[in-house]
Amino acid sequence: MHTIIAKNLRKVYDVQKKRPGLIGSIRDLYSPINEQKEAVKDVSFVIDEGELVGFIGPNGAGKTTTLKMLSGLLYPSGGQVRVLEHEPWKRDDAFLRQISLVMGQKNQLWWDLPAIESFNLARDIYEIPSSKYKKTLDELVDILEIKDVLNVQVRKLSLGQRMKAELVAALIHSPKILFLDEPTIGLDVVMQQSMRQFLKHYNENNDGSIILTSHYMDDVKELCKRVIIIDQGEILYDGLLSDVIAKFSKHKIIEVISATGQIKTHKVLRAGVAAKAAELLKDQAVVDINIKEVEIEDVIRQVFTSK
Amino acid sequence: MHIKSYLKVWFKLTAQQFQSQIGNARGAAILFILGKLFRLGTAFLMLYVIMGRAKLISGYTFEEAIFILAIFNFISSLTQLFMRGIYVFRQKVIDGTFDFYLLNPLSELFYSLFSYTDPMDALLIIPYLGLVIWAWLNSGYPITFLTVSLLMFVFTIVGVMIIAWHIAMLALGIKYLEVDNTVMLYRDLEKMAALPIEIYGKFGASVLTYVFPFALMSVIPARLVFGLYNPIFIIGFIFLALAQLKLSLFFWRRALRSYSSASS
Amino acid sequence: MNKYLSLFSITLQEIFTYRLNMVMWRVRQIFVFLIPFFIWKSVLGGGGEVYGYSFSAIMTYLFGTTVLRSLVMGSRTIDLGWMINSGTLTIPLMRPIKIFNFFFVRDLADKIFNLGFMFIELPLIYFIFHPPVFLQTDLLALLLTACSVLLAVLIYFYINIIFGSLAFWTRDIWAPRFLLMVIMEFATGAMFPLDMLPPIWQKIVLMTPFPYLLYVPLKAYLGTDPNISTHLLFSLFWVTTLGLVASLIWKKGLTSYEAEGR
Repeated sequence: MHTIIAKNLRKVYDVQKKRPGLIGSIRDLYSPINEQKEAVKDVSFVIDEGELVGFIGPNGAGKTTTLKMLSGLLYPSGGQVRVLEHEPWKRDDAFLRQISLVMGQKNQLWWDLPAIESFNLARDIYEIPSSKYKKTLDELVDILEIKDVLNVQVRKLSLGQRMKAELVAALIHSPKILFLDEPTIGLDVVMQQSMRQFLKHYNENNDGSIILTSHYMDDVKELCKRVIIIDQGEILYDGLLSDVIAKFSKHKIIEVISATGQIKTHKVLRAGVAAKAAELLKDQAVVDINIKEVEIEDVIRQVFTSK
Repeated sequence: MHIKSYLKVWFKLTAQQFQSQIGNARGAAILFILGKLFRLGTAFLMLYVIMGRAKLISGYTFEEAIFILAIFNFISSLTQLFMRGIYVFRQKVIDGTFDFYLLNPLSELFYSLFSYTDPMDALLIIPYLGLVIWAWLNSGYPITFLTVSLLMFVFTIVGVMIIAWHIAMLALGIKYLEVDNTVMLYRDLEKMAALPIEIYGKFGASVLTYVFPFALMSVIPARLVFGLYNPIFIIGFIFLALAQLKLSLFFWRRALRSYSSASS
Repeated sequence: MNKYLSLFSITLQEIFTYRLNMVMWRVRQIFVFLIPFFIWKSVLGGGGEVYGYSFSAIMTYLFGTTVLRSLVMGSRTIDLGWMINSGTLTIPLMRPIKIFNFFFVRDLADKIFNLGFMFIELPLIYFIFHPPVFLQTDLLALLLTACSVLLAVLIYFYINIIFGSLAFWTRDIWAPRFLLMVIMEFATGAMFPLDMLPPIWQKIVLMTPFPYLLYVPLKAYLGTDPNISTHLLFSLFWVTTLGLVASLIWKKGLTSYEAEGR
């Protein structure tokens, strides 16, 4: 049984188009123009237990909207979705207990209380048995290294510490699915790396699935074996990251380093890589040669622009 | 279902409010209390001014009118004490906190309504209750166990109806992101019941009894005390209350379907 | 001049954007009239007087305060406190427009909006409730009313600036605002004509700026104020005093403005 099944998911918003100017706004009062905005047009996929999947796409692509339909915040305008055999938007008790949502830059911890209070409260709300709670808490706090700040008011923590505490709060009830919406947005480079490592480690050592959205390539590179590329409400690609490169990138990069330290790059069609490399090596000045894939950012950009 | 969790969470939230009030906003609390007392005072003054010349207002004596005002004040303050959450609802939707409420196993209605109980407000409830007792005795009617029980019963029913109306307002807030003026309008309507509702004419009185249940906060309990109301009719209100609750929950769930969530 | 017109226009557009909000606000204004109407109808409808006011006189008064409210007390400057706390003040502050003028023009837009709607509501109220309407014809009285209203508008404007400025020093601005609202409800004469009070109380209330917002202008219109010139002088006094205080507090407040963002 798949963990998540999405079939022809669709989400449409009613947006009022405003006429400019004062007269325009008066006309808007008695005869408003309503438009329909399709945030998600037709999205289908299947996700299994234990997977770590990344939804990537530019801003406004529909990835957050899709995520919110999966987690139950939004009611789909069309199509079907089943998560852990529940219809998410019904937000059944049994469903809510098995999922968790982390949103970048937004906190569910109580601002004026020490983080531990929020965790204890989560224990009460999710009815986690004491022994299990203690074990999970100790593990998470240990890995994330926030033991010292458990008793500090959340508002006094640095952004990094807050995010870590946020992760503890999200995982304390051992959810089967962790939804993350732009989790590394606004974090500094070190913190971003920290978070990615944690998520990767967590996914490897726990049964749960992790679904995240991001428009940062580095998140994707580090974490996701599987990516779903979304743009303008539709899926452009769903599969292994490595395959994205192979499928969409017809070229490879050959870097040639001369004795003087100068580096020259050549973009070569895959088929002709070996031949071109051999040709370049004939040059006496060449000291070293690197053959690389095109940067994933460029590949993704290409995927979008080709659409 | 999870009553224990709800109580625990509510307690924590209230304690936290209290803490931050004590810590940060002592002055504010005093100003609020002063303001509320002043408001009550001017209401009494108005009644006095009006009735100084008119012996009766809709057939009620001055003392009876004071009693109606006192009960209204007490119940209105009590319900407002517990349902402060609606004043910050719009903010919670805008900043995304409401999303977390939705995905929390506890009902988002619980968080949206009950999470800002101000313990300082509770302080005033005691003198307000004292006022009710004084006005009751002053009006010349005996305080009996039966009438007190009847009153508590009526107050429970009106509590359910008030919750229903708050849920309806939240539903409106979700769809149109407009809560504050709606709540103020609700309060304006509610204020109308501070006086004997007969003054609003047959139509007005009916609206204030069967549509908006504010008469149950003042005139009807008063009439029970005065022996002018047959308690049997209260049974009808039970059904009305439950119907209003069901209806409001229906609107709430419907409204959530068009929820569009704060953008990231 | 153009920038003020633009500002005026934009403020109106802002108001129109939130349709439900707008409608609710106007409905509330109707209720403000309704409740006292019913009370007085019940007490005086059958005839008689209360402290010199018959039902007809009281209705005129009530009708008058309802109209005046929209004119005098329509204001956006109430947002000032929130603007300071949320850092939103920074934007208009940085513009080449005098900040007091900025707020005043916004207030004017609000008043025009309220007046506009009143033209629809007043006939409605009149046809349903038939309150006796007194149309003043004496030019002098009208002139005095105009002065009084202008002064009232300024008084309320400065009061809002002062109370809004409290936000420079404290985050909790709702509490003093609430107390102010409650006091004003009574002291402006919105609830009932202030000359129903015993003379000593009248004297005390008239020493505050509040009666000059609604009660005094209305009395000027009705032509029933024997001390109108004194009262106008008092209005002027309050305008100057409050204006000075507002400027001082504002200057002081700006120096401690932190412009903390969201």
